[in-house]
Amino acid sequence: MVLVYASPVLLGIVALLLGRFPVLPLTGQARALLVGIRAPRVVAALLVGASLGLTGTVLQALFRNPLVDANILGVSSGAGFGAALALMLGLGVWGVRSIALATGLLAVAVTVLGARQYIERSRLMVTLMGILVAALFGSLTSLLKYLADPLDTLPRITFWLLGSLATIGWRTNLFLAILTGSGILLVYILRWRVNLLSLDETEIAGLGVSPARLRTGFLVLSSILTAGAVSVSGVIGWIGLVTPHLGRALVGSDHRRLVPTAVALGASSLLVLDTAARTVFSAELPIGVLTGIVGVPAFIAIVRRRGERW
Amino acid sequence: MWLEARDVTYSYDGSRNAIDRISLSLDTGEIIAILGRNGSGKSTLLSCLAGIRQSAAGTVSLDGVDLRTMTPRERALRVGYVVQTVEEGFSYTAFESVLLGRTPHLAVPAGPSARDYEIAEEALGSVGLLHLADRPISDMSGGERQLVRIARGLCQQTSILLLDEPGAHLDPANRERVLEVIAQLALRGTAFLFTSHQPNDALGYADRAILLRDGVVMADGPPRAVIEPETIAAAFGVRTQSFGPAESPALVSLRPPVVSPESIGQTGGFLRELYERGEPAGNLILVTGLRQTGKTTWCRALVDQAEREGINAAGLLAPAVFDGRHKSAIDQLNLRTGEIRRLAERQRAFKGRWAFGNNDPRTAWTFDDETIAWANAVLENERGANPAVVVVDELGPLELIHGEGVASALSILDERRYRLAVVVVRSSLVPRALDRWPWAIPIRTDQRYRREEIGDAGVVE
Repeated sequence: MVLVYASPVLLGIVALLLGRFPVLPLTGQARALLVGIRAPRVVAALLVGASLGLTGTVLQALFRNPLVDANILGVSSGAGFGAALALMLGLGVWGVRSIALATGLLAVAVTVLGARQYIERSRLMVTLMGILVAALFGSLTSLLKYLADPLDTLPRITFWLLGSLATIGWRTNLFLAILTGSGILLVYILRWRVNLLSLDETEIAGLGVSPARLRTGFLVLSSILTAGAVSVSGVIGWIGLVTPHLGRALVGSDHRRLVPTAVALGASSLLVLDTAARTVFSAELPIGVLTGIVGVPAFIAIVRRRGERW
Repeated sequence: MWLEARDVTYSYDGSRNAIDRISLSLDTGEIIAILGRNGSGKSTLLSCLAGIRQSAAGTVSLDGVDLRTMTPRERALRVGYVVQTVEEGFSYTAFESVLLGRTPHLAVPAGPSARDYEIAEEALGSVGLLHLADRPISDMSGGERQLVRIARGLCQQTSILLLDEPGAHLDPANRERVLEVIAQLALRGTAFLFTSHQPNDALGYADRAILLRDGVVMADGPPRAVIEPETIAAAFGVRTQSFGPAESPALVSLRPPVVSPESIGQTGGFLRELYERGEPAGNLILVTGLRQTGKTTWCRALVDQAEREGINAAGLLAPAVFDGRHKSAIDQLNLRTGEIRRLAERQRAFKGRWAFGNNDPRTAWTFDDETIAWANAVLENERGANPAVVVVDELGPLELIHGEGVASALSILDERRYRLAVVVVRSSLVPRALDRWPWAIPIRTDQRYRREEIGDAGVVE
């Protein structure tokens, strides 16, 4: 268990040493590469991965659905649309991120407000609303891709949508660290409440907690975290879906142990994949593609082994 | 701690009240059992009492303080609520699941303490599940999950615990164990209110029993006064019999016995006994069975036997008319005069008035209004003539659900001036009949009156 919790740090150190250019011995150029490019990317992978693991776990509990990750609320589709729009408008990195963040949050807001009278009673209605909102923003993104200049804008949109940690610098990492850190802290403080999330609403109410407030609170928290992560990294799937399952296989379903485990696993797995994406092949693979290629078989393996024991 | 409900009313759709002006009070150490049919409002009442549903009218108060003025947590520290079967969430272990019951006792940033673990362990132990503490709920049987839910309720350590069907899914031993835990904790001052479909749970363990029917209180009092065959028949539409010693009786539901029509002529025979004891208030038997089980033939044999005994039997028979093996019409026969009229015909093409949700043209029946009026007049006439045995064949949905057909003449059955009434009713309508005549005794016909047994030729059903 200690190994799981220590893995982000250990793997982080290893990842710093790996790359096309050797950083040992630590010359001036190597130091510049390490501090300016490789380290921020490693930190970004850890932060985004941790965030995906955390929100995936919380949302799976909330929806009592093992097939859920942050996409269920339409955040990713919303952010993707915003990014595509910003890229069409020719905005810079921060412009793209701000608009992606805004549309990601907008998508969640539409989902949550659209389903607000059902939040207490019906998970299915919230899920349905999320799928609908995601579909709408997905179509809008397709429209933009159709209209985009195929030589210049379209590849950039496609590249963004496939996810990348390459452009994340220290300032972005600070933003991510504050966001993810406070999210992890909040969930840690409320860790007992996360266990209540997957109960029936009458049971939650019987234990003296308002189901509507509990669910809305965690929905909003997850949305903000996801929107923040997606707006800087692009759409990275599967980490949020698979790590909670891996975590449950390791430590069981009690969220007091599952949440930190999923956070650590999310951070480590994204780091490993991103490191592989930039080192194994001569040309860098989009991280969103790699997470799918690795995540899906991993998911199949876990589900086949554990059966319906979520 | 003292829970009081006054005129609690709740409606899901705003038009029909699921529970209607229910008042009750639950005192320290008291056990109340709530019985009623499926859909009678038991669960709704419990969730109102737990403060989870806000009663549309009326109040629920704890020690005189309105539940609505309390925060959810304050409420959950005093009133626990074990809900009926729910879909399980993630597969927490049994112990983790029970531990969730400590939630109202925990400050928000904190998790459970060693003391909380002890309490959860004790709760799990009291339902006899400690050896399964680490088993995921998803690997447990329905009964084990039920025990875990109950243990969670106990773990909440409230002074009032509401349990929705605590005995559901449990084998007899576990059921007794749970009720015994309830009884023991009640001695220490916890008040319990539980719903059940087993009258004996109330008889054995409750201080008070409340029977609900369509959202209103039908009976309320000491279990031995409330839980007896006639109220149970009216509440559930099932015939039961009381067994065991007077100080701890138990009700057993009975399958309608097979009764021979000739027993009216046998000393000590089933029908003879009923006939003899049919004073001052007459006995009523319900001749039940599916279609074509020989109910009418059975009635005819009874009437014949009664005549041989010199007993005056009158009323209506409903012989079927067959077209090959196919029942094509129903007649109505006045037993006093022998007059026969056509009551209903099966329509090849649908044009009937009484389709009852069945719009399949091949099975629609058309009833003759004139015959219905005539049948009513026959029964009305018999009411004046006052025969010893009254036969009414057959009461169907028309009478028992829609209040039409011969329904208006049924006061002859209510008045009980006969010694024995014989009413033919299909099995599915027995609860309806018991609604109206809770003292009625359902019976089954002999195999030998089945149509298959006696062949097709010249036989009425």
